[in-house]
Amino acid sequence: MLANTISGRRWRKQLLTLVATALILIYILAPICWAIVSSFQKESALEDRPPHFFPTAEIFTLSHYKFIFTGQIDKEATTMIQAQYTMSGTYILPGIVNSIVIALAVTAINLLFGLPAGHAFARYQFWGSSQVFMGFLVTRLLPAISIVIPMYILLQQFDLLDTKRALVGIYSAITLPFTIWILKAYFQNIPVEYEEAARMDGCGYLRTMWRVVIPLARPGIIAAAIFAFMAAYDEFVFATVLTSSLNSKTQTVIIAGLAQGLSASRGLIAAAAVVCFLPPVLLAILFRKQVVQGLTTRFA
Amino acid sequence: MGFLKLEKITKRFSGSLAVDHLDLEVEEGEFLVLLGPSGCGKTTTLRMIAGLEVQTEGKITLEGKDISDSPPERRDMAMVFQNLALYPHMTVFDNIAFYLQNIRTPKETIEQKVRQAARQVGIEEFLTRYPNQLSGGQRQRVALARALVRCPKVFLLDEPLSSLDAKLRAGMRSELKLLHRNLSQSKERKGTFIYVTHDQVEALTLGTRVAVMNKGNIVQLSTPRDLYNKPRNLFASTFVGSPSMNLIEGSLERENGSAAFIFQGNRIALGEIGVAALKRANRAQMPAILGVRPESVKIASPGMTGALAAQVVTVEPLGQNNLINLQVGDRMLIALVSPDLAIHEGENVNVCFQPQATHLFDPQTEENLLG
Repeated sequence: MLANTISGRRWRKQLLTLVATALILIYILAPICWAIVSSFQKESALEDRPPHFFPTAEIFTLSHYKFIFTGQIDKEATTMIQAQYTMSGTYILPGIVNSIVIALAVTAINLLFGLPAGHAFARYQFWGSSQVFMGFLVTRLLPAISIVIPMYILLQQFDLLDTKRALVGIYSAITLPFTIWILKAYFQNIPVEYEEAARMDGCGYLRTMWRVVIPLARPGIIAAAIFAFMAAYDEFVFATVLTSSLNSKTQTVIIAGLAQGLSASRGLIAAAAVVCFLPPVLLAILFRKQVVQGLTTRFA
Repeated sequence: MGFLKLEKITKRFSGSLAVDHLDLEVEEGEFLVLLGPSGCGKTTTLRMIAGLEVQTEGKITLEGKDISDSPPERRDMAMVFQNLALYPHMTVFDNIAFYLQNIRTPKETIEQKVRQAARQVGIEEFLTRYPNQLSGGQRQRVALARALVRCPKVFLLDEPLSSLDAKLRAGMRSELKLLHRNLSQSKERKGTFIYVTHDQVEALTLGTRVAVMNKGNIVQLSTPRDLYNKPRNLFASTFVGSPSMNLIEGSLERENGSAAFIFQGNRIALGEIGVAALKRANRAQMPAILGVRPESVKIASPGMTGALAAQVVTVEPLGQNNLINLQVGDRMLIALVSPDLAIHEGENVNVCFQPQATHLFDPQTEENLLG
């Protein structure tokens, strides 16, 4: 009897967890699934009500992707849809390249400055260390929109508008506090004796970092790097104001450009979105284990 | 001229005093144990010798050279940490070889030295494993090998056995002792050990000298034998020895050529020791604390003169001894006696101490009245 109620309670708890998980998954995955499904449908089919949740042979098309990758408009696409394909559909790939280049540079800068900074905040008490650290974090609270105009004027004066360099600089400034925060937390989590042992074993500061701290903090470093990469890859507000040509336009700006006007092709937007989210999804899948470890590991 | 010398070393941590003007000289080839309760400053002292902590004041010299400001990597000392701190991302081989790699030793030499060190502590077959694939005892050996491989000027050990279970600890203790003996007889560089522990058994068994620390300073520095038999003050007398020394407050009085310790109407004849203590203090009568180790409390035959009447409260068999709790007046005394002695709880007995086995302390200064 008692065993029954316990297992019953446990069963109910599991069911609740399951339902909650399912709801969260639907909330996150539904728009993504809908984008994927839409990207394979003919434009005319996307007008149908009720919508098609599973593309059938008559409505299936690869023409949106074909346009993105080759710039050719498929014969099967109707004239009405041809009109809706803007040239910026073909800018998706260069936009992704820009985004990746910028995001990689931002990631590199984050690690270059974030590793020593995070380590210093984790290990050394110096005059004003906690104030400086809080100061870094507070910059995260500043809404991007409030500094985008001053930033525009600043960059204009330095003749840096519409350059990747400008975005790299701004994104690094935005992402570094978070990177430093994660790395600090991770470093604090590593027993200091490993570093002390390395010092006793004849390592100076840099060699201790390179041979002991960085290998031990690898999951944390990968997590921090991926967050920095994602933040730079996804950024929209600064990019849309500060870029004007393919020289520096990022994928977010180009997708937004596709969605202008009532006649925009929804199939094309969906396909563009799918292509753009592939790189981060790939990253997330590749480094899934490290990211989870990086955010949860506790050393014994 | 000491091999390693600490002069007036002081360490303050944001206001609190961890080590207070400590002086210490360590000879080459010595096994010096820093013994004390937690918070007495022993680990801080060790870390200052290592260079991991910078002293607030004072000077440290090694072989006559001032190393007060050298970083740890320049001091040529090896350390075994309390949690061992084996690099989890390196194999046992690389853990041991790490120092040699850092000073750019040729590969063949590293290979040979690592194997030799591993052989010394019996972990040769584990060289390709990672630390988390080893048992506690094996990890302990790796940590030792990591120090051994370097032939450092000084070995620093911070409670290295505390993570082992009691049985392993006893085994490793004898191995450490043997290891030190071999190293201290070596011709090139004698192994000098500084060992921090709160375990008096480790201190007494391993040390060639033991420094008992309390409140940031050394209260007694002597051989283990002297530490046990001639404690210089109350702290050393009670911290060393288990069960700890019996202490009785009373007064020391001269009586016709001899001297006796008086407490609660009881009188214990102390003979020469008492006379010497009074002479040293230049007084005929003084308050004092009498200390007797439990094994020196003898159960006497009834009616013996000069013996104290006591009642047996409990008898705790420990195997090789029986621990007896005795009540004398309103004082409790502990005696360690042979289990063959038939003593029963509630029984009335007589106890006596041999004067040579007693210690006298000044209740004010807590120093031994005989120095």
